[in-house]
Amino acid sequence: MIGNLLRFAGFRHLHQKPFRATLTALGIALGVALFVAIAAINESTLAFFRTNVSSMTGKASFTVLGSEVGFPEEIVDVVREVPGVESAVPMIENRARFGSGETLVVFGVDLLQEAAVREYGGGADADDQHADEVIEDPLEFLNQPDSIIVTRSFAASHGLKVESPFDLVTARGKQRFVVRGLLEPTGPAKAYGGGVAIMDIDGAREMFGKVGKVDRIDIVPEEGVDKAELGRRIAAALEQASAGLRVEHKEDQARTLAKMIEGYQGILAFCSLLALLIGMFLVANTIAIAVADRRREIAVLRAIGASRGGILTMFVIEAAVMGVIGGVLGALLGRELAELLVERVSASMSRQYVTPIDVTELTFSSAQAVTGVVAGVVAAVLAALWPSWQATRVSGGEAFGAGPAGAPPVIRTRRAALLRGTGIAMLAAFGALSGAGIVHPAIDALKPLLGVVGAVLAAPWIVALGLRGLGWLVAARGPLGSLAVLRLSVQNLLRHPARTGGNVLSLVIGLMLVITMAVIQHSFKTSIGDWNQRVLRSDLWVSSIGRVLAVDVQPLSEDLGPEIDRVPGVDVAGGKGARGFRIVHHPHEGRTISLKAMEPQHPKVGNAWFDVVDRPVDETVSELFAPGVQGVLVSQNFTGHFGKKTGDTLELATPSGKASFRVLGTVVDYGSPEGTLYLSRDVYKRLWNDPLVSAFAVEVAPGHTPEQVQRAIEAALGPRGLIATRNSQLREQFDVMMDESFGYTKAIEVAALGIGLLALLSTLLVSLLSRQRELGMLRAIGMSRGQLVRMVLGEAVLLGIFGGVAAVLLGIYLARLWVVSTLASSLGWFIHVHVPLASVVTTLATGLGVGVVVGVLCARRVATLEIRSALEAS
Amino acid sequence: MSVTSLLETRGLKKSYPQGKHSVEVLKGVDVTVDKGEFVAVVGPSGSGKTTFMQLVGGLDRPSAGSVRLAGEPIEALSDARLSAFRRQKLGFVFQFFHLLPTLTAEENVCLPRLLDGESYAKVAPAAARLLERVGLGARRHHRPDQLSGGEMQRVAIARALVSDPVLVLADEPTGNLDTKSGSIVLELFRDTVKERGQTVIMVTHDPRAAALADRVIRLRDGVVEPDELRDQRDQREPTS
Repeated sequence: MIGNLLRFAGFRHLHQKPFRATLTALGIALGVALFVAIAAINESTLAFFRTNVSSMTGKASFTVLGSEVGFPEEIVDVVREVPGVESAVPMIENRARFGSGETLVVFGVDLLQEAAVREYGGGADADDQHADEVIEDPLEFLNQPDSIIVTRSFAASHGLKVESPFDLVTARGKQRFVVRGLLEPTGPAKAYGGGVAIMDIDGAREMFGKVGKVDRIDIVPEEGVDKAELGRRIAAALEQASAGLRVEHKEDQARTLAKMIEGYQGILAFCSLLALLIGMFLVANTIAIAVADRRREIAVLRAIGASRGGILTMFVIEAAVMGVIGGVLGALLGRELAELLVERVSASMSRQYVTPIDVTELTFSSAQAVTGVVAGVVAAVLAALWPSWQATRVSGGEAFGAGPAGAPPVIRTRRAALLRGTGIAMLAAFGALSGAGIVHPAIDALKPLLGVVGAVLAAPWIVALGLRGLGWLVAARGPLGSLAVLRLSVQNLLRHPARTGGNVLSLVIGLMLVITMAVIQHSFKTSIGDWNQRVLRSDLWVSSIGRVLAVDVQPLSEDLGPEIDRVPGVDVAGGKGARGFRIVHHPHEGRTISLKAMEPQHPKVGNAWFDVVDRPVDETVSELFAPGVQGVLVSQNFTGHFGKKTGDTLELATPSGKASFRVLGTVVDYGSPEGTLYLSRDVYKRLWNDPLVSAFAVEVAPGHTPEQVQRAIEAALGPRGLIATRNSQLREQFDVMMDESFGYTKAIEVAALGIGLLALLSTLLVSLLSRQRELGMLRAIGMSRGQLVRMVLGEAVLLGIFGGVAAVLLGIYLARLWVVSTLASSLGWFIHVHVPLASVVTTLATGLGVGVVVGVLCARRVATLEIRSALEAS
Repeated sequence: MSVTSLLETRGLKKSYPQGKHSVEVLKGVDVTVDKGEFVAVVGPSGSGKTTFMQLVGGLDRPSAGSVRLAGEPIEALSDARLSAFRRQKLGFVFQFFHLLPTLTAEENVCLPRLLDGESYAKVAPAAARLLERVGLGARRHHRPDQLSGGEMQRVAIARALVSDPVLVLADEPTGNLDTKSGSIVLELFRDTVKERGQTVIMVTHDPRAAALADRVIRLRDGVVEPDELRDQRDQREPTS
């Protein structure tokens, strides 16, 4: 029976109402596209980690890692002596700038030992008969410190050949290298999307300021050895030899990286689910209106013997068909969207986690496509269940009725009040829980859901409130009572609160996403920007890549400081001009914190950099730099994460062993989500054995302008690869960086808005179809075509306007709580909420714009309404 | 067109496309209705009654022929002028009442004049008087879902009269009412239009409704049936 029902009733409607079916399928398709794209991007990022780890570890089972400044090379011997270790191979890993700001990951390897761990494929040239060898003579390679090997893909994309020279910025400034060989994309050459180069380990140490150090040791165990036991033995040996080192099993490395970005991926997945949710609203609305539209038909089917189950199945399968079409289309679109977004998202992740994540290859499997289609079908079926169940409640007796005689009642259901109440209660609970800080991990995880679901349930109520207010203004005896057509628009919308709510909800969700992201972004940007402006006061910043705030800053030799001082116009107060500082990441109790090793600041800027909040600044800073004092300043979020505050003692694992520091004060710092420590560079150099600096802060002498001195520095040191950046440029860089970090969200917002527009269009069109007779009557009693068009346009525009208002109110509320509570508790940062007025205006304008577009499209349909047919419509 | 005639149709034809063919519903109808006349249009299903009324009411355009109403050839009017013509010169009463559910009875009655740009304050007294006349003075602030079928149709009658139209077109006004309510509504309808001197064309299936009319026009297969043919057939088939 179900087959016949579908054949003769269900599918005929899909066929006969292609516009409605297409719009609904498109809505699902967009939701699925976002779902699939984000899943593919997340999977590609994980694949990137896996490839990197497996390419880098080769045959090794364990890797010894320290902080980014490296650790003493003597550790290699310590590891080699551990029973069960067959080989322990050291490596230097560094990112170097070349050309117009691109970076290349340079591996310094011990060519004589490397084969024990990693295999390289390649040759002196493509057609070379020795194609299996990386280079012909390793000893010759060692004798020439400018030798470097790059991947074949990198060489091809940069026009390099064997014996081509090319420049890289190193710790010693710009240096010339010569390509001695080309690598096929196997082994380590597969890491970082092929943007890698190999050089001799001693040359790399020289070039990158890591003499006597290594960055990692890859360990191959002896055959048959108990790996777990070996891991423990290596860890014990490291514990004895040096502090701050960790041994990681091959499989743990990718997992550790994946865990790091879990939160970020979660936000992306959440956005994609939201988009799918909007698609579900679209399906639910379409089916609900189809049920209303086909009530007589359902009654006839019931009268002639169709069962309730049959009717339910008919509508559910109709939805499933739209789900399949939307799912397939969405999977195809999703792949394209993922291609478009993958690099932006990975760049954004890279900035957020201060870790190079260069996902250039998209992992898109057929399983992901199938999951997308299944998600589309499941979403469509779930969305269709309630309206389909409503269809089963139509009695066969209705087939004998004369149709909708007169007027259906104005619908004010208890259900709407219940939903509204639940929504407001959920929002209130979200507010209360957010104010209470961290309550319980499970409850904290539920908070965003509480907020979003609450907002979704409360949104129709806000729209209805706005409409009621307007309804009062345009009421027959109200202040704007003469606007009869507008009154009809308002009353049509108020007549079916549930339908109106459903119509506008998808748009509200889309706009809410836009405003929430805008408030979060603006709050971050303004709070961190204000802080930057407060603390970064130097006239110029000299670095290797001109981006002091970037992830991959090539550190410089401190010896460049005196050279900068000699440039005319540099203010050398107290015998010293350029003040070097070092910013590095440091593992601490399972997290990666930031260390800022500072010098006493130039008198011109004073202690502005040290934004101390709990003690007098000058007193605190003079203690930090006092001889014989081993102290640190802790950021507020460090205190939040580790519980250490002013007056406490903090123990850090340094390359020179464990060291105790006195916490001298608490500072505001947005440098790291995990926490930041400020310490004297003298102390840092001694304990970390790292004389490099990340950049120099430079002041301009009286009588010179920053532009003049910038030009002078670049003239003198530009050929060495140094770039001077003015403070104003630094702030611009920060703004660009923040915009880029949130750039990917724009695509998500556009997709969500697209679904919102489709949903509004589809549901309004369908609701107009169901009001055919009424529209016909209005035309019959004299409503002009223009008035009818204005009435329909008015309905859509009002939904757009009030949808925008609801989205702005709810979006700001959600963003505010997220910023002050959820983000504050997870990052430990104190971010002040800043509502961007421009975004509020844009959101309202977008709502209005969507309303106008939808209104115009609907109005075009009603403009051609035939009165006769409309009056005869069932 | 005579001095007293309000409506004159000449050679009125209407056909609708049906697949590759077309169906001719009206095949050349010539009708004249005088001012103040209450005319019933009767005929079996498919005879073209409703189509005739739609053409006369300017709700549809004829395929051929002309409709001259109050001196205006309405088939030649633009859509905008036709809408204004309907608002100002015509009143409609539908079988299914077609009241707006969100408006009160009084607001529903006011609607045609509100659409014509008049203020509610100006129209409301006239609407109240009409509702009073149809016996709904006490219920003028009720919404349609608070009224019975008969009451809703009385509101629809008041709405049809609020613009003081030259012609009222009623399509099966009792078709959706029980016998008792139908009779009450019909008598009220006839009395109200008579006392206001308004012209009415009423399409009906109901012989009792037709009996209240001044004149009956019979349509069969898209043409007006001549009286002699009708009489002959009536002798063979006693009921219509």
